[in-house]
Amino acid sequence: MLEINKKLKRILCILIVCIMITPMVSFATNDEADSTDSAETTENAGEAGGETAEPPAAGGEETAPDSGDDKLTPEQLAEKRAEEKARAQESAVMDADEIDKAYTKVASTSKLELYVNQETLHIIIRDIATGAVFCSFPQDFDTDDVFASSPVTINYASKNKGGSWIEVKPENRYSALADDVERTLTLKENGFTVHLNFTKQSLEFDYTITLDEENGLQLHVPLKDTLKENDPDNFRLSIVYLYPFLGATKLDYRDASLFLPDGSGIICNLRNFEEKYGNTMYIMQYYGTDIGKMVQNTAAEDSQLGGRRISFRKAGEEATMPVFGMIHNDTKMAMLGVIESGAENATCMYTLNSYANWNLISARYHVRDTYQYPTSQSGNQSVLRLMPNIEIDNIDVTYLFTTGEDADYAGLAVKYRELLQKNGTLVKKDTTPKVRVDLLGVDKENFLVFKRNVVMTTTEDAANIFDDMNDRGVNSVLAIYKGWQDGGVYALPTVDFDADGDIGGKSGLKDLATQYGSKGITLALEHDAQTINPDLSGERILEKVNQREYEDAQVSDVFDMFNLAYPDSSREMAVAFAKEVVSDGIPNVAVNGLASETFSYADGDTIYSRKDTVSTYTQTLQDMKLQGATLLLNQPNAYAWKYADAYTDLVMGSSSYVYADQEVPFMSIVLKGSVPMYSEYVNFEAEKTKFFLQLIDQGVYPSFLITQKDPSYLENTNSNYIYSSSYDLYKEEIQEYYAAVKEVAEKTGDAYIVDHEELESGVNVTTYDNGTKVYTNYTEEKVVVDGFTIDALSYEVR
Amino acid sequence: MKKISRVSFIFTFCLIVVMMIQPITAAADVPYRTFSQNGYGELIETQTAYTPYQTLVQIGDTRLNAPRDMKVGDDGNLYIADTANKRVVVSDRKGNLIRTFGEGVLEDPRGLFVTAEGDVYIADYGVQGQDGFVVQFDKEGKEVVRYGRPDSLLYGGKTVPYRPVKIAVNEGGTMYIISDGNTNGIIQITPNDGGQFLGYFGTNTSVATFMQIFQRFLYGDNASGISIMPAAASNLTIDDSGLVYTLTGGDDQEIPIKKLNIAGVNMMTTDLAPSDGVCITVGQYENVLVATQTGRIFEYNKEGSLLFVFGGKDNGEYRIGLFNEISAIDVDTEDKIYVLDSVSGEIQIFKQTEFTEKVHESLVLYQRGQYTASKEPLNEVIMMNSLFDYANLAMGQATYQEGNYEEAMRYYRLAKDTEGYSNAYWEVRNVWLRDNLFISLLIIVLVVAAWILLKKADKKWKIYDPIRKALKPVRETKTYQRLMYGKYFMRHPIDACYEVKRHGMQSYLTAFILTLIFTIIMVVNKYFSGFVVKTARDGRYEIPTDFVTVFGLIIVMSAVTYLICAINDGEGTMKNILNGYVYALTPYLIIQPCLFIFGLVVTYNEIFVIEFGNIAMLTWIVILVFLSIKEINNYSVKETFKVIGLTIFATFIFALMAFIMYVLVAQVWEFITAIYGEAVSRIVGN
Repeated sequence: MLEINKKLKRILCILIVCIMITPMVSFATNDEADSTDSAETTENAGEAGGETAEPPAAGGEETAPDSGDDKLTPEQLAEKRAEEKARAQESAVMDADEIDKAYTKVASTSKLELYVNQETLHIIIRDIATGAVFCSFPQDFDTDDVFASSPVTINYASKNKGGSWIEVKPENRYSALADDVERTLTLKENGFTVHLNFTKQSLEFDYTITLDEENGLQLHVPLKDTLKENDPDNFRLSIVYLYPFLGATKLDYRDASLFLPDGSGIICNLRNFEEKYGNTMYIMQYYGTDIGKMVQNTAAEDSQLGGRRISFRKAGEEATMPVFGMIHNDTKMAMLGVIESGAENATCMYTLNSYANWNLISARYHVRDTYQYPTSQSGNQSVLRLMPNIEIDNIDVTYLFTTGEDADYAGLAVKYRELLQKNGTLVKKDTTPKVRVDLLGVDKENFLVFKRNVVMTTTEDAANIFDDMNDRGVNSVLAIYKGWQDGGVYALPTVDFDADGDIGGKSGLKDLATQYGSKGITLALEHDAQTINPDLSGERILEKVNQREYEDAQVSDVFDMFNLAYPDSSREMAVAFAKEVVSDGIPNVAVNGLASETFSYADGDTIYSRKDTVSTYTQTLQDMKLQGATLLLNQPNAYAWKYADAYTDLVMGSSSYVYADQEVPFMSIVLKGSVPMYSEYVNFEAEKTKFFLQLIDQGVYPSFLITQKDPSYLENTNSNYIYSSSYDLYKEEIQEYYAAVKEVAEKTGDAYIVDHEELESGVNVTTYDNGTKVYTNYTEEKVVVDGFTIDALSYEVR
Repeated sequence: MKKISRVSFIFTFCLIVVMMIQPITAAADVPYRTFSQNGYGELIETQTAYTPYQTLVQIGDTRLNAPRDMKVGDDGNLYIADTANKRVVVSDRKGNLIRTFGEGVLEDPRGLFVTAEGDVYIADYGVQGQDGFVVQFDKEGKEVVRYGRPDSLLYGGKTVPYRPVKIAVNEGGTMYIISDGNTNGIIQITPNDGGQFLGYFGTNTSVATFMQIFQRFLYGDNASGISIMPAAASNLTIDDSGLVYTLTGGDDQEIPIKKLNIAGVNMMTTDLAPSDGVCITVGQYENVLVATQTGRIFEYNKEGSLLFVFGGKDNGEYRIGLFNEISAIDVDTEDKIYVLDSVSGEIQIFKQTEFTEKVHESLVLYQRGQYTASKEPLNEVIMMNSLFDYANLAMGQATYQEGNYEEAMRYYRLAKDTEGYSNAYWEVRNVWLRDNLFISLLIIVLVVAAWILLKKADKKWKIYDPIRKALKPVRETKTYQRLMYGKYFMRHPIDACYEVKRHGMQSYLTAFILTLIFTIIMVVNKYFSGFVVKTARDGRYEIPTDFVTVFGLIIVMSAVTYLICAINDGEGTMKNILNGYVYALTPYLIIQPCLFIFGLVVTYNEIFVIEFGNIAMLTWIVILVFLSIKEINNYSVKETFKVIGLTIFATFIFALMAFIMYVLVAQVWEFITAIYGEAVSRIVGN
């Protein structure tokens, strides 16, 4: 019996060992078959969508047709160009009778006239006083490219053999001037309406251009009402280009500049770039990249150096203002296109000597995008899909024109401000000069099997800091408490007013607010209803349009992943929070995310566009205001400016493109006097002196990130990017910055900026409408301007 | 007139001497991040170290065409090998053309060197199919002498290529030439007798990886693609004291950056060097700068510690501060970095920030050994970045030198430097011992005396009896006896194994409790031991993993051993073997706590005690494991060895199987979801 038992046991054991080995053998032999298999099912996984996780804010996109100039000898080319240049300069200014007879004058105001060519639909805008013109079809068009010669061009999506949507640029591009397009132009009072019928694609829509005294030049495309996709199974409208060449110049023929809404704004002087920037169209998406359409979540350029995944390149600044500008310096006429509707899905596009050497700037409207829909777990197999609904309801563009002395970025900014004031976006808020001192309360670090608090600044510490600042004469402060909530700064989203006991709890915060409110210190609580920390919150995680969760991976041992919340639940949380804090006496809310990030997303089978998100978020901000909250918005996009009682983390620089000749304070000129603007943290600036001068130059108030404890305590937390923050180190700097900013602000008051210019290299002057002038000298030498001396790296208020 | 803040002024003007007026590129933001290395060797983000200062798009009216090398001469001018234009361009630092020369003489000038006297040496690749050459020009750009292929036998004959691509020249005029395709090393030529070949210098050694050796074993020496030739250096430079710095690209380079003395011996080790370095230069603080193909710039200090790394590749965005393809890098006396981009033909100039200025200032003082003087700039560096570990380390050193040991301990710990910490701690402990020696000795004597007295008292009057009585029920339980059995097992494994097998000194509960105790001791030791002996990094806890590892390992090992023993006529059951293993761990339970306590107060001077303790403990455990397998299964020594060998093998297979199962399941899952996803997309999709 024992013997049998033993044998049985032996057999069993051998069997187990065999089972162990089998899969290994089968794996080794099957390896190859497996990999070819997966290769076959891959479809459209490559570049088709053109989306990477971190697409360049302005990426080269497509190659334009050649000018054909290479066939000429250098002498012939020089001769040809000299001729063209002379003609271009000549045609820059025209008397009314010099305008081509094919054009009819359809509208005029006291300053401008609008002409249209009823055959080609091209337009001319003429300044009556000077005769300077902006043409949508400038002279010397020597290219046959459909895009370049057409006033309106579309990209359409069609189906490939496999039955999935493709939208390949530029093959699917179609001109409104093509023979099979029916164009019906109807003149009306102040302008004209055009009905376009692309018969081949069965696509129809209308657009209207008007010019009147009150609204200026406006372009209106009522897609929601007039767009007809008559063959929706085979053709859909994808992109619309409207008068892209309006005001375009060629090579260095004209003295002209582009204005791009990169960061605070940049100016690019147009010249012969000698093919440096290739034959490329550059694009810059308004309101940043749509993270809801990204395929991957990780950063594009990563490095494994030192065993940690890091990304060396910083993303460029975002275009938070939906504008684009062309300045003709020679004829002193400038144009700013302001997209009042449809900017959520539009990109600013510009060329630098391309499309046969043209320099153009315009916007491109993505009525419907395609996106990658992964069919496999790992995401390396996918099909291309088309957004089911149109993503832009209506396109509304107002073209602002300035002439004479105002034909520069400052003039355009002033004009833009007036527009925003007229439509109610910009309202005067309390602009008392303050120094912003953000306090970090609590973050978490790992300890044994749980996470413990790292307390950096308690309410008691905050009180001491405020007292000390008061003693130093810093008596007008905006203090945003970060990481006040139970669980620390990354306990997101912030659901309700539940303060961490370690900083003194809710009562501590309330006491702090009441005690110091009367001493000039405005206490605000940071609030983020958009980000989800899945480790701490069970909130439903937002899915991108491809029905995958949006993931923001972090290099951290504590919290290594963040997600996004659905806009509707963000709205609920934010409004409830506003109600709670207002009743508790701390009505100042520093809103993160809601005003600055917008995306398309999927909720079940329904797909939403950025316009839906923008609508929910603006509604949220409005509701928060209705509850009585004061909102401090972090880098808000233009649509949220209306709700901003303060603008925080204002970008004063740009993405430093090589072609940017000048960084201009366009945004500051627009906002100054209406909304108080606070800079990014002084702590992390490498060039503090220049940064300080920029604050003075642009009328921006300084910001500091402060902790009571030394930031080395944050080493093992997610906040380990903070390497310098202790109050002891910054107290003197805060005092100095405040004193300087206050002194300037006493003279400027709540006046608007009316002009800003660079007097000479590195010397700027900002003029306010109360007559105050602020001179800043960024150079390392003394300069003499307007009869007085300004020290090196210094400023002067007159 | 408003003066801006004094502090800002002091910051700025500290090192600025005379500055040129230049167009302000008021770029507050840079398109790249800057990293430094922390004490764990990881890269952590830090302040911007260098900001773009100016871009020289063209020199005078001409543009450079695919330039391959550039040096800042002692006269402050830029010397550029304008390769595709076959000439040398000399420019001032603002981009004004001074002169060009070498037209008609040069064919493919790829390397360039400027001596202190202003002589310019050019390494010319030569025309296709012919040898290259080296030309020496004088200050005015007149050709002085031309060096062709060395005719020495030592050079290696006609088959060894002579295509100079990079060159450096020492004070005596000896040339160090890198020739494309010559893996023998750097060619060393003296100017005597029209150029005498001195031999090869700084030859890289080849490192064969395990895989390569294995491949060679399989395919033989001559198989293509697996020859183990040493990689040739790709660029070099020389400093004022004649030390030659070489850079070697390639993933398998053990030491990509070398600092060679006259004998060719490497004097610098970097633990974080790029594998795609293209050019190298030395700054005025003996700091070494290396630029890579990926557009990153590394700065090391004299010893090879990484100070900063920044930059990046331009993906057609045209952002200032990013590069297409770097071909040369150099530094001027104002610490400005000049970077030559061969694709755009532009020179980007970077300026150090206030922070970097302070770092460099302290670097100089620190390297000179003026620790106290270096404290002031170091303090400012640390104030600006309290997580800059290099500064923390230097500060630790400085405070240590000053005798402020407690402060030194703090800085060393921040810098994660155990050795410095240990030294500082030794001093602190010494002081403590000196101050408290008498009292501590007294306490020890008293405790020992009390212990002895109590024991005697117990013998006489049985004072412990009440406690004994109270504990009796517990002591009599089987589990308690089994738990305590480890003590006996340790000393008498052979007898004990018999007991385990025959007399029930085993239970799953005991095994579980003992393993639990083992794991707890291990965890405490791992996360709370003294900094000098601590293996886990601060702030990182993997306790669930630790538990799973220990329990998993013990269960798997016992199961596998049992399976193997079962087919080898072993007598033991699963329970026997499990308990055997667990009992065999007893030495750890007894010795490790002692080591842990000792580890709290140990410095590197006494670390051998810990090491010895560990070895003794491990040996003991191994012996116990061996004996328990042997005794429980009633094997001979030979059989035991066989079984242990088989067990290790089977464990390996077991792990492999688990891995393969995981991969297979994942693949199948991926396949199913892909089919489902695609089907859904085709049917439901738009």
